[in-house]
Amino acid sequence: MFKKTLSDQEIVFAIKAGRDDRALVQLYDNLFPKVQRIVSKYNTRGIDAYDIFQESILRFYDYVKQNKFNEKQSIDAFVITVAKNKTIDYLRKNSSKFEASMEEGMTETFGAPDMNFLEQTEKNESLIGLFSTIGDRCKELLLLSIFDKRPMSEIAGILGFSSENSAKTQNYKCKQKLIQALKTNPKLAMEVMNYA
Amino acid sequence: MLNQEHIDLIDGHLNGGLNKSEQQAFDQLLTQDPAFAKALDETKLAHQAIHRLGLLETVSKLDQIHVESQRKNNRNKWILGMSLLLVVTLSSFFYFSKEEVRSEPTILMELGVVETEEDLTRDNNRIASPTSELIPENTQTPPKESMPEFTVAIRTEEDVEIQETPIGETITYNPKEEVVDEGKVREEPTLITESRVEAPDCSLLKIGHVKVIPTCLGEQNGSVVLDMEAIHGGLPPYKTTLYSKDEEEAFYLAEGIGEGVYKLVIQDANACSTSTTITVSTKRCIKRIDATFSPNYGETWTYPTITEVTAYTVTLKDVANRTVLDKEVLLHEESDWNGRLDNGSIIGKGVYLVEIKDGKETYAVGSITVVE
Repeated sequence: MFKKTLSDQEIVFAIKAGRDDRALVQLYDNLFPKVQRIVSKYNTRGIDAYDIFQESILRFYDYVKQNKFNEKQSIDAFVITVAKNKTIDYLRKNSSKFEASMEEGMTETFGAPDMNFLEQTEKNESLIGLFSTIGDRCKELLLLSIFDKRPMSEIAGILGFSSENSAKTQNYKCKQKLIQALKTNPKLAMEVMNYA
Repeated sequence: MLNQEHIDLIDGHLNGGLNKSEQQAFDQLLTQDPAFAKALDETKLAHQAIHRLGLLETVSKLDQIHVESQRKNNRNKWILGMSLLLVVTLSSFFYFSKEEVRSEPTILMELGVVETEEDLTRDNNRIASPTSELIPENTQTPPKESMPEFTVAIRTEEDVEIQETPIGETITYNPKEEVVDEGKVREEPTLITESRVEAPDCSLLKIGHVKVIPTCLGEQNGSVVLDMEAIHGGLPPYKTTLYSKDEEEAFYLAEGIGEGVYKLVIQDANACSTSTTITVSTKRCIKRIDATFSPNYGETWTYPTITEVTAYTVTLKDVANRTVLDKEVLLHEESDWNGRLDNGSIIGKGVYLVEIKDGKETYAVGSITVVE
């Protein structure tokens, strides 16, 4: 049996609703080879096409989740454009890094913090560490309610709460726990603020 | 303390789901209730953190898909590789089976096999025959000492030409060498389609040290300074553009830049361009106070607002450096000073040095002139 190919609209809907497993596979199958071709076209030695693809998909997700994605636009066009820009950015950045290694007495403003999501490894690890302090169950609950925007009635079913109200109360408590955790780490809180 | 209604309003606002009346209630609370505003900021921050975590979870899912796909590809490649190996092995087997027959003349020569003119004539008549028939299976090898003075006939690969070589001359036939030669001949000439016009080497264009002056907290007064000496390897004149993080807005190098990450792009006369990332950070700047007011006529002095600061201490000293006022100010409770001192009297006319600070950090300094 052949699986039906999801339309752009269905993919966006699936991502918004947090039911994106199939959509993500389709995006990968369809777009990763295209991104590979872009990266090889630019003759970019040392750049992993998968890294570029991942960054581009994340940008797309970010837009969809924040309702910033223009649904009249094609997903292919969006991701390919981001991938092209990212590839060019990497090339430019490499030349800057080369320059930075040659120059002495650089200020911290030169070769400044990376704008790419995945290259902020340290910050990402800090964030994951922060969430570990509120517990896996709280983390899952908050992801379902805030990132996936699932209704409380459904969350209650998924996580086994006795009622929708119970899930709602727990959601509030978990959010407060997270706020407290962020307060104890103002540096990370500031970075989180700058993510947006 | 927030009630459930407030919590729902904040969640509704962040999820974009407030109706008109809820929006009105939200706006009202935001302007009137500092606790509500604070809770909104905190909740927004928590949502941002969760959004970021959600994206990281997506990365994990994508990694799994990628790994699985690579595994499938490798398996397919392995199957393809094995198939090719099998084909090559079988082809080689058939090829070398033929080679064995072809290389027989050499082997026979080394063994001293010679054929008489008579034999050659007979063989030449059979040239058109299949290769397998060229060498009779029952070829006899005569003893070396009985070898007569004749020419040696060598059947080449093509079986169409006969070379005649005086006996005693070493002739070898190596099918492998021929394969190599054949390979060389088959090399296709490289097509050169690139233009030979000298293009500028854009990789030489580099940006050196860029001076970045941070912006004051809550203001937009940072600046980026780039000296001509800092640009290397390009052809002047240069065009410099500073882009904001999302590349939606372009700034020309100037003062008045706010906090953020920018991309500085330099383009030279050859249209070569290079870029570097610039971060304009913030710093707390000490404000300058220069105020004049007349408390005797009911005028007040408005406490200066300091970004992200809700309370501070105001100290006034007279020209003799005596402290006349040391007042703690909570900005959400009072915004003006009416000139009254702790003892209830109105401050006398004159010039006073004013300092606003919180603990060790000074936010503002200057002078206040009290007039009649």
